[in-house]
Amino acid sequence: MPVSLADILALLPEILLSLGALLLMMTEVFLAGARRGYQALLAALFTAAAFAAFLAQRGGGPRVLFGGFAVSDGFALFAGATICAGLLVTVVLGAGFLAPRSAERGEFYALALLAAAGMCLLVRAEDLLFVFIALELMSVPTYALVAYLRTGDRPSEAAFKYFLLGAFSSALFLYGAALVFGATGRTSLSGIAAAGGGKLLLAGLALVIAGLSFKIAAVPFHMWAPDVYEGASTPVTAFMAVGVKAASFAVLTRILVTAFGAPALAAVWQPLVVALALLTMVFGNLLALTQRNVKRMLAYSSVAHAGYLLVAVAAASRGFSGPSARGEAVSSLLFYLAAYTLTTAGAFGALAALERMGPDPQPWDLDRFAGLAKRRPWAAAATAMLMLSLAGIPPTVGFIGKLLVFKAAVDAGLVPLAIAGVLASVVGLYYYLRVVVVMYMQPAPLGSVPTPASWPLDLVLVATATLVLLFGLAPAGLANAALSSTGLLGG
Amino acid sequence: MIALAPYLLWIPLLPLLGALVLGTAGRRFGRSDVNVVACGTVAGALVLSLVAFVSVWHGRTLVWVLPWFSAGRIQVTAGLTADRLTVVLLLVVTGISLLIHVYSTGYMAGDPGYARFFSFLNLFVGAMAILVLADNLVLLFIGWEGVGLCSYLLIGFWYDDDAKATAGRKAFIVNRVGDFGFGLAVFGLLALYGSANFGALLRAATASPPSALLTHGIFAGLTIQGALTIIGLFFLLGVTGKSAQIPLYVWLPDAMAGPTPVSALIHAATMVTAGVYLICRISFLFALAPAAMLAVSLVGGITALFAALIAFAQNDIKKVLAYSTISQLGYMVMATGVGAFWAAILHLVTHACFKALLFLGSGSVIHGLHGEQDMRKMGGLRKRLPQTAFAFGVATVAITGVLPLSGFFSKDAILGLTLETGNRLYPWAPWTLYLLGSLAALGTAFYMWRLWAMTFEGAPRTEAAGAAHEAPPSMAWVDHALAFLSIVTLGLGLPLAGGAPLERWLAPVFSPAVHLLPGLILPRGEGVPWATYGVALALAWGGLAVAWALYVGAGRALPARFAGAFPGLYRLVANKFYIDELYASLIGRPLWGGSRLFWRLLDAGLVDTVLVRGTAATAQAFSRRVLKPFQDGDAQRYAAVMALSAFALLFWVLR
Repeated sequence: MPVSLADILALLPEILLSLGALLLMMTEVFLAGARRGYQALLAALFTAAAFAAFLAQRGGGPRVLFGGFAVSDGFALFAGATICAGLLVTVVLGAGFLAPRSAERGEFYALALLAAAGMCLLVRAEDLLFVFIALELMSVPTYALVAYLRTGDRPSEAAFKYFLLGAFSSALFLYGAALVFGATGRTSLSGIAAAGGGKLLLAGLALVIAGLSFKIAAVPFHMWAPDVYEGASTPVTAFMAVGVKAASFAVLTRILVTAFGAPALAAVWQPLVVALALLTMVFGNLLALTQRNVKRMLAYSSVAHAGYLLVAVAAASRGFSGPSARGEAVSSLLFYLAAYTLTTAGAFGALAALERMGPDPQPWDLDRFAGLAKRRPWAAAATAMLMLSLAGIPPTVGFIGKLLVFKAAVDAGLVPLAIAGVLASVVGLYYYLRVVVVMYMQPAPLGSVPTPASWPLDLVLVATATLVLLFGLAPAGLANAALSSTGLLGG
Repeated sequence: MIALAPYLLWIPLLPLLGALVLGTAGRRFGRSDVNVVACGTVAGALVLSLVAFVSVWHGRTLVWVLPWFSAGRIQVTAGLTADRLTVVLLLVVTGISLLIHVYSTGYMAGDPGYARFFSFLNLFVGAMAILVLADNLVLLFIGWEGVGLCSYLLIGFWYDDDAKATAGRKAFIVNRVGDFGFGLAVFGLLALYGSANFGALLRAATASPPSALLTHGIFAGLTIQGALTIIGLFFLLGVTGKSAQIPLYVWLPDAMAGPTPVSALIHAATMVTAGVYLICRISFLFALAPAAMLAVSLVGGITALFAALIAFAQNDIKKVLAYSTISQLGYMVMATGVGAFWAAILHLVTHACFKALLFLGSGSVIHGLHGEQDMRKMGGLRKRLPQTAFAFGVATVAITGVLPLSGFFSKDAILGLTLETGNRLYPWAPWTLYLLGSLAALGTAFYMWRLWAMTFEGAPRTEAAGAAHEAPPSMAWVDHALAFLSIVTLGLGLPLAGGAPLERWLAPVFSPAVHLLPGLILPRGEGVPWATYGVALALAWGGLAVAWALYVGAGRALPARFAGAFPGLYRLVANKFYIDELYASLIGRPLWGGSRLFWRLLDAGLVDTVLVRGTAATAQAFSRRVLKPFQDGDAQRYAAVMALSAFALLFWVLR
């Protein structure tokens, strides 16, 4: 395998993230007991540098790296930048959440940076083996992160559950990859597309989809999500909800469109994805409906959003739509991922800002939001904005994202799916707006302890809410960036 | 010559920013801070308007364009443009606004909603500037709706008074009817020409002859002239709403519930003239539809006379002025209908000055009498309020035209041009319009001098009137400035050789209309039209003489005897011909009843109970009873579900 300097330079973002992780672990060892305020700053700097590296690489055409294991194309760069943005929010959240709990340690940031490096590699993987390695590089630090705040049995239970089921899903994926290799003799995505195959290939396809459906938390592979999301400390939950989901969606789309893009194969997986999308949208929203626990509600909301994203994946199947419609579908997916990352990360930030320290039987109950508009009007306004965006109401970026996704579905001939999606998001209105109603129309319960303000958390809230509004009012820039990032190698 | 002028944007933006600042942080400001922000931003807009005026004077047309949105073949830009017509309107709007802002600092002093008031007033100036600067009908509509919103907010400014809040709603709802017409007209133009941009419309209108038959689109089967007639009539509906013409004038008298400076600025000088401006702005389209123009002129003429008649029997000083405004707007609309666009604008300018002054003067009177508005409780105020009386007198002379002040020339230009209109579609039209206008002029002189006599002459009829006090300097100062303007604007309408100054200034703007319908606007004969001047002066003095005789002189007992002798006729006029009651029983009550029925049956019954609560309860129950039990935290069960699901996927692809 010939490796050139250009190949290594193309991986600059991942290299930066890994370097940051190493640096943080080393300093943690030597600076034990010292003040740890620098760690978040360091992590944020490396993350921002990786983000900038992704942006700087835009513009060039798609390039093959490492003799076909990975690629550098617009799709990967956009997804990578989105992941880094999510990581940046996570780092700031971590600083604001962990420092008051005296739980700030280098490992937290190092693990997050390592997982993000895995995610960034995942979105540019062009070979099933490379996909699997990147998948594990993403997953293993995430398992550890879930157990990071080891107070009580919740985090360890969540981590164990996540690890167990994650290992199961990895096995499903690996089995699928093996079957694909057996059918085609290839592991590279373009090679699989060129070779084609029979029933064995289809079986491999089904298992690959099943394995990745776990990572994106699509119904019926979603059951871990509420438990794990609830158990993990809130910054970690935010990271899982945005980073893991974005990376997994990117790789799922790439595999389906590149390796299984032939019309005959697309005719098999498109209905499958449509069915998953339907199930995910309907059940995700219905399950969120009865939650009084806002963290679980957001977990189910993240499941429901996977459904909307699956609509975009279904619309991207080449078998049923022309190249321009497919580009539109892929760009809508990218836009939605960016919008979702911003909004969801911000929403978990709102949750983190309200959590109390010490033992708390019901830390995430809806009542925690009561009277917030009186006590902290800016935080309440930002949270309301984020909820509106999650619900997909103008003038927020969430509305534009839904608009683009459903438009892509209609253009791809999936009109009933688009209608189902709109109806499902109407259900979503109920539980998102309930948070707003509670914040603005219910007085704070008597004897409630005000939560201490923490400026990093406020920063996350205000920054994400502002961006959500900004991209909702002037979406052209982001939408055009997404539209020019649909160049998938071999797609 | 077309010149790029980004500063045009700041003319609406400055007052809008002022409104934003005052609206969000105004409550924390002191009064002087509010004054600085409110008056400062409007003064800035006035300065920029002057800059634009000078630039246009030097032969430039100013533009500033941003792309806004596109839908299919329809492109809409958020463009601003300033030509000779625009700068005239801009100077009127920003100039009068600034004066009235200054006046309001005195009039509204002590009101708890001080900052809120100025926030709305600034918002109005910004919206009005957008309206006159817009280079297309869609953006113009934004301004059109914006000023309507401000009108609503300011009429109901004292919203805890139920009658005032109701008056605001009435204005808003009646205007909705007009806006509906406006909207349809714009859609019609978009369907016909595919653009709402004035420049593009002008090019399209001159490109094809009006007799060309349309073959497709919603106007298929009509000629362009026919389509434009329909569109023009819809525009007319919009104009009757905004400019308070028959049949939609009913909101304006009630609008007097707002603070008096608001009446002066919005409901006399600027906003209500927006309809006149609109017709002038698209004069070239109306020129292609003579039938629509005739309708416009008739509506204007009849409104002028009708409103003057109602004003005879009103005793509320502001109500008289409100009907007077409707009547004067009727003159302007009539002028546009006969093609005398420049005369309409001339009357718009002069009327803006003297009617604003009349309202502010009445405001000073009301202020001096601690809120009294009934003229029967006034009298003899000339001695108590000499400053106010002087300014008010100038305006009264100007509007009635007993002396050749500004109103005399502008009104006479309109009356003279009705006779010379080239719209020969109906031979009876010119004489009819002249007659309507002249009778209205007689009526104007009568009701205005009646107002003067009842308010300022004779002896005080109440203690309050005897103890009235003069207004603070900021208010008196503005009264004098407006009196000065009421006199000097006569210069715009002097019948010089080659046309009045304003006529020559606006000629390039209206030349397309003149060329599109040759003979529409006949050149005025050389020399001064002594005949019509003589008639006009005679009518004005006649009205003055009658009013003086009946309310100051020997015939003081006559009005009461007249009312006693013809009680039915008097009640009919005093109750404004029962138009409000007619609308209430024809439209209001059936609508109310129908709405209640639909509310009970459809909204409360079907939608709320069955659709909203029913579906919500079903979804909740399904979620709680069926879905939740699966989610019990048991990892083995989760894994089993995953495995079964993977099997299902396999089965699906392999079947």
